[in-house]
Amino acid sequence: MIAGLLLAAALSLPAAAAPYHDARAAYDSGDFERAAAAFAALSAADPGDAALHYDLGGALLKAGKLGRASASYQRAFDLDPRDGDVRHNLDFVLKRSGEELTPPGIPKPAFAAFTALSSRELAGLHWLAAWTALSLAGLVLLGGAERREKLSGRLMGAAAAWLFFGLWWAGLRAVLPPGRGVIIAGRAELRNGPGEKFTVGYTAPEGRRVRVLSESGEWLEVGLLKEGVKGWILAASVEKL
Amino acid sequence: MRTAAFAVCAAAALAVGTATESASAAGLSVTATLNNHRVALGDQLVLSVTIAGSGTASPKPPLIPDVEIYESGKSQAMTIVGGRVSSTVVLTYVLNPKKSGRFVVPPLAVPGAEPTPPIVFNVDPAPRDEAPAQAPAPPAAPVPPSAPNPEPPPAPRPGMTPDAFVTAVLEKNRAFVNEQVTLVVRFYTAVPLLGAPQYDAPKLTGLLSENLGAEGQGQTVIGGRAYNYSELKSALFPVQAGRATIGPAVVTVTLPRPGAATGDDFFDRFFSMPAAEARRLHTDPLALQADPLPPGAPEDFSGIVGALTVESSVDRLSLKAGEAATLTVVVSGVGNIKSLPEPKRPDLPSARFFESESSVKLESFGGKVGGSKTFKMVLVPRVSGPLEIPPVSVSFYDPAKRAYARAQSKAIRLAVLTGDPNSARPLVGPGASPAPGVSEVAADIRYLKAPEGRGLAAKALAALDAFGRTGPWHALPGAWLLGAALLSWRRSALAADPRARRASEARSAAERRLKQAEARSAEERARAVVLLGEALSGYFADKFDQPAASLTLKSVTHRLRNGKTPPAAAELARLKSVWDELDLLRYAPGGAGKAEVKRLADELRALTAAFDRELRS
Repeated sequence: MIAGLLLAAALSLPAAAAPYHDARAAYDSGDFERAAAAFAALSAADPGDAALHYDLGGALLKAGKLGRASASYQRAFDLDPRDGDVRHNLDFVLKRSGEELTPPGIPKPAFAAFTALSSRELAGLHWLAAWTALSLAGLVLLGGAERREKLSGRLMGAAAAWLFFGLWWAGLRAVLPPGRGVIIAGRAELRNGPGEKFTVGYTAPEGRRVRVLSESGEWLEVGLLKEGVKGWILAASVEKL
Repeated sequence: MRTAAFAVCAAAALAVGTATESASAAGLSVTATLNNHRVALGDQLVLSVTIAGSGTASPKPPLIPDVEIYESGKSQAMTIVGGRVSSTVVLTYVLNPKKSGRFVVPPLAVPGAEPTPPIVFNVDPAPRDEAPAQAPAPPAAPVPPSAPNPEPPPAPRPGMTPDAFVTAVLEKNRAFVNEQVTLVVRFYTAVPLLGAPQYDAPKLTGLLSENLGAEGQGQTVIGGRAYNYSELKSALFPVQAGRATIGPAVVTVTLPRPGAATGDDFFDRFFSMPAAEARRLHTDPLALQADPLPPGAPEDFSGIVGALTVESSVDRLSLKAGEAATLTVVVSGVGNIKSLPEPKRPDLPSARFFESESSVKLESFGGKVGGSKTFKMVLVPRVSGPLEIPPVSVSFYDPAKRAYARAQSKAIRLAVLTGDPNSARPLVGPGASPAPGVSEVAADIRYLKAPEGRGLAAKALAALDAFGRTGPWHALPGAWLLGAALLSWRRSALAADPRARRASEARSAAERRLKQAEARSAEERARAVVLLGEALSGYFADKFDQPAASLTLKSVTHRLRNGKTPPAAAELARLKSVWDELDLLRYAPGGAGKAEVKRLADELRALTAAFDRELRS
């Protein structure tokens, strides 16, 4: 059984590597459209791999699709925020749409430390600390005085970790909230209602990050994270993250 | 002969020639005037420098930071009195400010003359998409609608056929700012001239002038009289929106006095010296309405009106990093080419551009001023690899299409080879010191990142990620804590009530004894029976909180029957049966066998379970 699995894994390696090498060859030859299509297929097959989203972002950017490139880099950043290349390229595309990875007024090292863990990792640590703290609390309740004295220190530590990771996670969700999207249309128009009959309130450049607030048919109500304004935009103009 | 003399003189007056600087500047005076002292960014100013006196001299063109200056023309009037030459030279410079602010035209000097005082002018910012700001202009006089004027009307006045007259006609009397309007000045004469005519060009206000080159000559009949004529064409360009004026064009000519002998008779002509009469002929002043260009100008629009093309080339397509190549950009077409600023240099972070030089070649295309302006700039690639010089573009307003247009050259691809590592300072400009350390050449994204296999850390993070996802399992620790809390509370409650605790633990104590009994070996069968009995009596002793020794079957049955939930008679009968059997076995010589002990233990378990429910309720 194990031998069979190893054999299958060994056989599957070349099969998985071939499309990647094809995509990379297309990228190296300057055929960025083909490279983007190939990387898109690879990242769709393995959406948890930050490197594939990163590569897709590079191909899309070289193909002139700033908004979609920004979305791919954002996905890579969400998965692996500690990767320096991902941070660099995401910051590069954000600057081209009038934003920066590090919010204004915050020192870069501080923001880098704040985003060193992804939202999912923080969620995992938060729940792990919660499980530990609650389990220890149960043992303390059921144990005698001796056990209570022995576990109380650990219980305090676990509770502090639970609080720490919980606050960190909540803070990260405030900075990078769920339900985000990226504008993929050039000079997208944000209207004051879900339809053409409403006036255009703002225009936003391609690649600008938005938060999707609600949906109505073919329209999305979005808020611009940087400017703090909101409006309605055609759903086709936004790629949800 | 007469027309040729006029043409030579007039051409000398109008032509833009190269100034011959001379040191003989005795008795000179120089004045400088600016047509406006406050303009909007994007507008041009005209600086007129007049040098009057004996001799010829020209000041150096002024240098003003952030203002492009080019010489637009030179007119000269010359008189010779008593063998002394006296001239008035007017040099025209066009000032094209590149940014808003306060500027000063520095003093202009020629040897032997007092320098001019500095002239201050202000440039206000003006957004591109609005109509160009206009300097205060005189009230616009009524101007007829724009329409091309016909050929110059030959007769000055109906029914009159003077010996000589001069006319000035504008091609049209309404144009956009910087759009060419042709001025045609014609000198007609029906009699022989007695000297070279002197031409004084019209004084222009708010206009730049360019000579259109070769003058025309011809013959025509006006009112039945034959005339020879000479004409000069000038291209006029309005400098700013508003009303521009063309002063009288003056021709001073010596003509035979009317009535003098000019007959056909040979002797009349030979012996008679005709009386001369100096005549000063002039045209009427003209007006031109200059309209601002429509809004929506491109960002790089510099004010050119006409039709342009752009070509770019380099002197070498392959070079090493750090070596220099010359990029030549030629803008050609019709329009006021002379005022064209340098096109925006290509934005190439991997190459550096250095100072450029430009040259202008003016031509006339069917009565339109044009030509080409050539910009040469040195570029030095900083790094090796293919280098594409993007297209160079120039925006202009096309009056024929009444729209803004953009001319664009083709991109040029250079092959840049690796530079010589021993060459001096290949990456920096001439004279500059190389910056220490690494210098960024161009910002770009980083290269691809091959997916690395999932290592232990990655697997741990993936597991953490999976664990962190929202799910019902995260309620488990809460449930555990709740259960622990309930259990703890119950323990505390039991600890506070020993009787209740003894009753609640009665069955577990009985179970312990039953297991001990079952574990006894065959040699300890008597002890096993004793343990079975103790399990039964101990159970009820714990439940009733009494000593086991004091309990009898009767007292137990009595307590059970008087409880809240009396047991069924069958259960009591089972209890009596087991009690009696244990009593019997306790005193039997052989005790009980293993199977019997097991059977009795099971029976006791069933009984205690049944009584436990009834005694609890």
